[in-house]
Amino acid sequence: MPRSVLLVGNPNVGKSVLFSNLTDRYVTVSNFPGTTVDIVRAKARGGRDDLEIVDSPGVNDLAPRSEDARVTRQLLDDMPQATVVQVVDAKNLRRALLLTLQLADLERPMVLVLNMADELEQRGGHIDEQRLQEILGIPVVSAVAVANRGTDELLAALDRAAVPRLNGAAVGVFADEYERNKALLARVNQVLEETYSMVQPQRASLGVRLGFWAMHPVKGLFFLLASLAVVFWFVGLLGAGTLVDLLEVGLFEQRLNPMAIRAVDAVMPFPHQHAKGVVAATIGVPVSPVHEIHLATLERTVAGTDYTLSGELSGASVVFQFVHDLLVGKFGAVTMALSYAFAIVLPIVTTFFLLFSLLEDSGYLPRMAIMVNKLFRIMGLNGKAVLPMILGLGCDTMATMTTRILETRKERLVTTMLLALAVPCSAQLGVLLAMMASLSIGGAVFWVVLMGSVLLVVGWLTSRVFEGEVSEFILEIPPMRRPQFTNVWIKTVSRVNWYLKEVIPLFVVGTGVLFVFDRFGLLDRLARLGEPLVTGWLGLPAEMANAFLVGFMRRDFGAIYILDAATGPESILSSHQILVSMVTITLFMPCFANFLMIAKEHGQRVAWSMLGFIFPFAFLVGGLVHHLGRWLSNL
Amino acid sequence: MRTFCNLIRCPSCDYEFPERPKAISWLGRLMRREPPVGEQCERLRTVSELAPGETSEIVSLGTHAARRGTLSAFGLVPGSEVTVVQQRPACVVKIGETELALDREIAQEILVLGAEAHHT
Repeated sequence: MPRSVLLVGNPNVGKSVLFSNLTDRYVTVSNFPGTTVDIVRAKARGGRDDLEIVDSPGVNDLAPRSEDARVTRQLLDDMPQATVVQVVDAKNLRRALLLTLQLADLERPMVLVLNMADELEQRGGHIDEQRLQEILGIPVVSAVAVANRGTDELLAALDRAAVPRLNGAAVGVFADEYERNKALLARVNQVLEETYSMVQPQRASLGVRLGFWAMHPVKGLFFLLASLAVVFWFVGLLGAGTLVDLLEVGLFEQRLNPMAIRAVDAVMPFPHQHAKGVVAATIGVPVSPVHEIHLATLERTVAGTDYTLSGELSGASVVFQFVHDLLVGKFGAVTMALSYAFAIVLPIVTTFFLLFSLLEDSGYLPRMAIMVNKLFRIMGLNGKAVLPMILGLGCDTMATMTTRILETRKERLVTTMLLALAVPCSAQLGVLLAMMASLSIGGAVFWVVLMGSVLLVVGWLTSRVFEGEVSEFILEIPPMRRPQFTNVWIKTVSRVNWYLKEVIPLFVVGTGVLFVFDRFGLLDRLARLGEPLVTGWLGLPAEMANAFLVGFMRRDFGAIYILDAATGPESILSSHQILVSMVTITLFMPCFANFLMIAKEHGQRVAWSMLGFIFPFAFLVGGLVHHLGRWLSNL
Repeated sequence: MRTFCNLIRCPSCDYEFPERPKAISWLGRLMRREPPVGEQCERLRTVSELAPGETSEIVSLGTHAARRGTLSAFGLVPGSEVTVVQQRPACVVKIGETELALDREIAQEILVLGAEAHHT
């Protein structure tokens, strides 16, 4: 029967890092307090089947007020035989000992891990481990989890785990949690006097100063704008522009597509001739949406997807043509689905998650929450909602799941609504940024302002409609840390992995649907059906109905479709039409996966009523933009 | 309870809480009634009144039970020292080595010792 070890501790002390050190399982570690919301358990590494490690969300005390505390208490109840390892942020020993005393009341064998010992040293602090061990009666181990130091000592100490000699019962019984904490802290202060000493260092380290500037009313704003600019450049220009170009043209159009066509033609021949043309891929370093430092151009003459029949079709060759079109035709699985997934979505999503993981790891996000708190109050949220909103720029489905970190139901609902409505997810964002290159600066600014206003107004309205309170803004600000590149990389890879597993099947299915509709002439029929809406009200060519049809399944698919129409070789959209379609597709309904997630988190009724609002709203605003443009140009 | 001071003191534990400030009536102003500067009034301030960089000792955390519970778990209890890092765009305080961001409303209800009292 395996022995269990439960990792407990304050938020942001390194429990998850320690968990990764002890096992070979990776838990998404983030520097934003309160984000480990799932329970993770695994066997200790080295094939030790006799030892099971369980991670828990961070808690500040055991009062059942927050979700995290309830989960932790449940875990403690479910595992009566487990050894409790409390992971402590060494420089915040006082808070941690408060928790220690509460845990000690449960009379379980315990071990204390003084993690982040390096940061304690940096700040001139010192803990007498020996004395602490004597007072508490449990083994005390010091560690630096991010450097994997102290892991072996911890494993050895597990055998010496004991029920603490010092516990909370000694201070008396109190009805009120607050009064109890006061009394416990008084006792803790006595312990600290004997074990903790601090010599203030002369100068604040760079990390501390950066952390301070990032929250400053003026410098912090500069930080915020700078980070947005970096996102714009890295994701929008480099990712959505250069990398997409390279992959879409250089990889797919120049190599993979022709190879696939040749393969299909070899296996299933029928009389036809593919049109050949010259396809050029440019490599350069982007400087702005319209300028880049040109490095090289690669040209190749290849067969494209268009072809003409050169003979009669009968029997088997009819089937062959069908399969051929299914795979490599205009709506082919390879030429459309896979190329969209790998050439367009993948580079954008990877660059976004890379940057996001960097921001997360550095500890900047809680500071961003401070900067936007006042603005978010208008929408009935507080600054903490910045995490799901920014994550929504990567993937709305993932972000909807992350709204769990918000404390009240009302906040979770408002944030979910705004995510589904107005936050463009990564591929969409990248596409939008790339399209801005085709728009004038004025058009791009207009889009940004419009989206911002929609967010604020709809947020404000939604918070009026739903009942409930806003939670108080009490947020712990962890120190700014240098991002660990392995950590960042692993996080990025796991998120991209998750995203691709979501996306590829849906792209393939979506392309298949389009293909079938096209075959049976349904696409034309749909285009005509949607004409009054798409052409009359929105002023777009009837073909764009396809974009909204696939937008049902994946918003980014719809956006890419529009991008193709706008910037491809046969551009069919004018500058103004691009703006209208950009606005409509941004506000357009949540993609299927997101819809399912909303239904899962908040119930079917909420999901359907959100959909019922978003769908007409998107078209309403799109149409208004179109008519406004027409009216202005007629003046 | 003093008439012209805005603090209410509990008779059993001597904790003081700010009461809603009462306006001096026009008659009072006519008769030139000014709030006497009592010793007690001078000795307490709210966290939102501290300047960035100032340190003081907490006297009271206000009356919201849930909020007090949350704050106490961070180590914010009467008697502990707190340093203000900044007041805008949000109030950020430092307690021990923990930095905590608070809304202005919350900061306005945490009482700390006044300037003179602290330097004893």
